[in-house]
Amino acid sequence: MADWIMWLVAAGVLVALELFSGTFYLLMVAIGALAGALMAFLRVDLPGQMLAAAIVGIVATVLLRRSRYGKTAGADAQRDPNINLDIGQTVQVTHWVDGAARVMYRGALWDVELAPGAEARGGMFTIREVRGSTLIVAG
Amino acid sequence: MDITFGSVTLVILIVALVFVFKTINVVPQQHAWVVERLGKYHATLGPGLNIVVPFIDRIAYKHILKEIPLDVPSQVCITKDNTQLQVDGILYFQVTDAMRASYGSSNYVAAITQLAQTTLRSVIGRMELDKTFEERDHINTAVVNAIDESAANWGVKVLRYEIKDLTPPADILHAMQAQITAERGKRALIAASEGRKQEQINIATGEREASIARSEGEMQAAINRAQGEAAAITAIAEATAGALRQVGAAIEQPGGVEAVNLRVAEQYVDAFGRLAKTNNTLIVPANLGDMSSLIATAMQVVKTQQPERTLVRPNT
Repeated sequence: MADWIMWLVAAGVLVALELFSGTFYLLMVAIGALAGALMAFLRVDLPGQMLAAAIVGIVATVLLRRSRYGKTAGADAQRDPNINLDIGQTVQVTHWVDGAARVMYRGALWDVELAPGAEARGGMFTIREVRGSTLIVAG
Repeated sequence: MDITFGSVTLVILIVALVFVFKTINVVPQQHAWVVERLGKYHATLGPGLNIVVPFIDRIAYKHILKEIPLDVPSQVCITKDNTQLQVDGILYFQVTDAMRASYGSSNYVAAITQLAQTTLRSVIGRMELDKTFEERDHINTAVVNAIDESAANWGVKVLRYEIKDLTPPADILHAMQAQITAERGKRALIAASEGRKQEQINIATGEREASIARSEGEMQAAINRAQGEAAAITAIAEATAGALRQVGAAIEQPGGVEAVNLRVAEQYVDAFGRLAKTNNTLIVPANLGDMSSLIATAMQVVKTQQPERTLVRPNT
């Protein structure tokens, strides 16, 4: 069997596995395998095919990182509403003691601290950050 | 040379595969992966596609940010009144800060479990047995607050602590059962005695009302009878008066006095006749032989009465 058919079979299997796993890296490896198939079709020898597959896989990953889907890890995880669903929710604070309070939220009592610059008054506050088990709120 | 170059390209392919595997990370929703860069905390990966720099970045911890129910092993607590109590609880907690959950405590599950158990022991130690059944809310709040105070740096939030089971020793359970049974028995006796009391009140009231009604009836009957008798006496008196009036009128007719005399004499003789029949003792007038003088005596009585009657008549 020709090498390029082997590469194509490998790429197809990887894409199928990718559909099951829902991760992204198998797709990148499949793109590399397609490049290997192209090299084999162009009668390049086996080391050249493997080299092409490796380089294309890495390049595809780097391009993915540059694309709008790829994001690098940010350091502000404590403020990310995708990580912590409490961020952006509102709590009712009746009174403050030195910029701190204890309020009922989601059926439990939570420690609440006032974000820098926010005014300490009674009313509704929005959760901006979760630090440990303390909610940092601002008006 | 050929074989060597082929081996090198194979190694490059394998390295490329590992590079791709390690670089691309897809984090599911409500998960947080902690990335260390050269051994130092670098970032927390949120849900979605994440690309890290291989070789220098390492995924060190993977946390689930969902609320987790955690079974706290059952423990024996001693209440204020020295009763042993088997307590079984369930703790609901959630990782709120993946970074602190990774580095704040070596094992946050063990930490919150142990703290929940020790706090529970101290809270129950301040209560009497009867209170522990009623004040579950208080126990829950006390445990949650105690964990909150300590767990600020553990990155976890304990939302609830619920007591699943409070089991006192068997003999205490029996005593409680006996107490409840006795309490029910007491209530039954009180209810029965109240029933009897009400019954007697009802009977007495009924008798009283019956007596009143009966006496009123008797009173009415007596009044009616008395009025009847009075009417009868009046009627008899009137009838007698009428009869006497007729007799008087009859006496005033010619020969009336003689008729009276005759009547008196008849009755006198008659009376003597009856005396003789009914009694063993015989009453005899002193001068039985002188019947004419006897009649004369009776006549004398009539005669003496006559002038008075003539005097009285015009008035009647």
